Amino acid sequence: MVLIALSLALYLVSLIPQGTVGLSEKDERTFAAQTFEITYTSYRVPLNPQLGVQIVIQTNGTLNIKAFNLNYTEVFGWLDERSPSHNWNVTLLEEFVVAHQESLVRDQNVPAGNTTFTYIPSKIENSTIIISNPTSTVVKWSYENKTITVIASPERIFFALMLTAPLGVVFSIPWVVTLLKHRRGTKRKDALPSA
Amino acid sequence: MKKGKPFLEIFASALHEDYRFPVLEIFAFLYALGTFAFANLADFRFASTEAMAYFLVSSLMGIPLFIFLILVFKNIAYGLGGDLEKGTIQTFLSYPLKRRNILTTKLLSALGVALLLFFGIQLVALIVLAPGVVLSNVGVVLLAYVANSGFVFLLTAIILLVTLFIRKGGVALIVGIILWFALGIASSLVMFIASITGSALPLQIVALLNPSTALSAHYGGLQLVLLNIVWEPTLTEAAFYVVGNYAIVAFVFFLAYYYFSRRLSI
Repeated sequence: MVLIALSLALYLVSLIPQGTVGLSEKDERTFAAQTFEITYTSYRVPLNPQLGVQIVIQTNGTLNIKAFNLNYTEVFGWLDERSPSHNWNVTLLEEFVVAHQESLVRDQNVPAGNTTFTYIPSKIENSTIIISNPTSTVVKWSYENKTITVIASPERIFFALMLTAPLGVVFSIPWVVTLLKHRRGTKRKDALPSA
Repeated sequence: MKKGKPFLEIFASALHEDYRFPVLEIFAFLYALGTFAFANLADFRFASTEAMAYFLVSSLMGIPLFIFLILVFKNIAYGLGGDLEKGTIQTFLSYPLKRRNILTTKLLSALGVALLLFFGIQLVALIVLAPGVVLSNVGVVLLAYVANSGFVFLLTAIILLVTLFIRKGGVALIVGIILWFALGIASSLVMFIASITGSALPLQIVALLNPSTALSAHYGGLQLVLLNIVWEPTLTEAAFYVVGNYAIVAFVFFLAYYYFSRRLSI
């Protein structure tokens, strides 16, 4: 029953909506084939388990989004050193990924249509998000990125909920059975004629 | 009769008395809701990772610690006090057990189970909220828990002593709640005095009673409250205040045990 009470509290917590910090950044443009750009960087404040980033992307082609736990200076410095002319193509990005494999925390394809990408780290970290167009065609896309605040990562709350609720139900079955038996016994006793 | 059997019998009876359905369930719900709803990392985003781990624990413990205290007060002041008032403690005294063991069973139920539930939920919250922060600062997290619990243990020990002295459950419960608020107000006043006089002494006295003050001062939490920084203890100094506080707690518990074992006439 304690686990059921705990899962009920977790469910209530999961209903608390996320908030937005500061202003969101919006843009709409075309994405050249085989190129990439830095879409978000936590240059003002590092992200933490209650402070994440959400990017809503609308595109007519396939894009790729990568999150690194690196700050902007590290990313930009590395890229600038390799390509001073700022010719940022996907080959350079692949080299960057190989060189910073341990810092790559998310890698996700964005199909045509609307996609919401949310990244909430499990610790305090500087984050940089890179979007690339790996296809050989020009893609039209729009995005809106915002810094969000949450009580806890919805995935982790859901995971805890999925663990506590079924366990709570299973563990409370013997208690409910005993309670029902006890009640039935009391009813029988009441039904017997008194001597 | 084996020595452990009467101990377990009294413990089972105390558990049954302290946590009648749905007491444990309601408190588990309140702990969890309080823990998650008041968890706060965002306000301290400019602090170091260690400081963030400390402030995360402090924010996680804030409201649930008060709920924990209510549960412990209910069990000790109302439960044990009620037993003393009604004379039901005599039944337990008829068992072949030393008085100090009877008090231990009562405290195991009143404090131990409440602590298990409290820390169990806190652990779930830490894993759900910020596993990365916690895993990289296990030492700070543990010290923060020990420091933040110190004040509550001290209040618990005082209430145990008060309950044994006055033997009236309801009155002891009220005394406990008044003591909690009075010490909270006194602590705010002391901080105000420290900020005016620029002396660290009042804060050091408060830190002995509530060692989280020392850790908070170490991680810069007090600088947000006070206009002029009057005290910046090192981590070792803060740890000494924790040790000092627990020595006081142990002494008050010792007094309570001594009184219950030797002086209490029932």
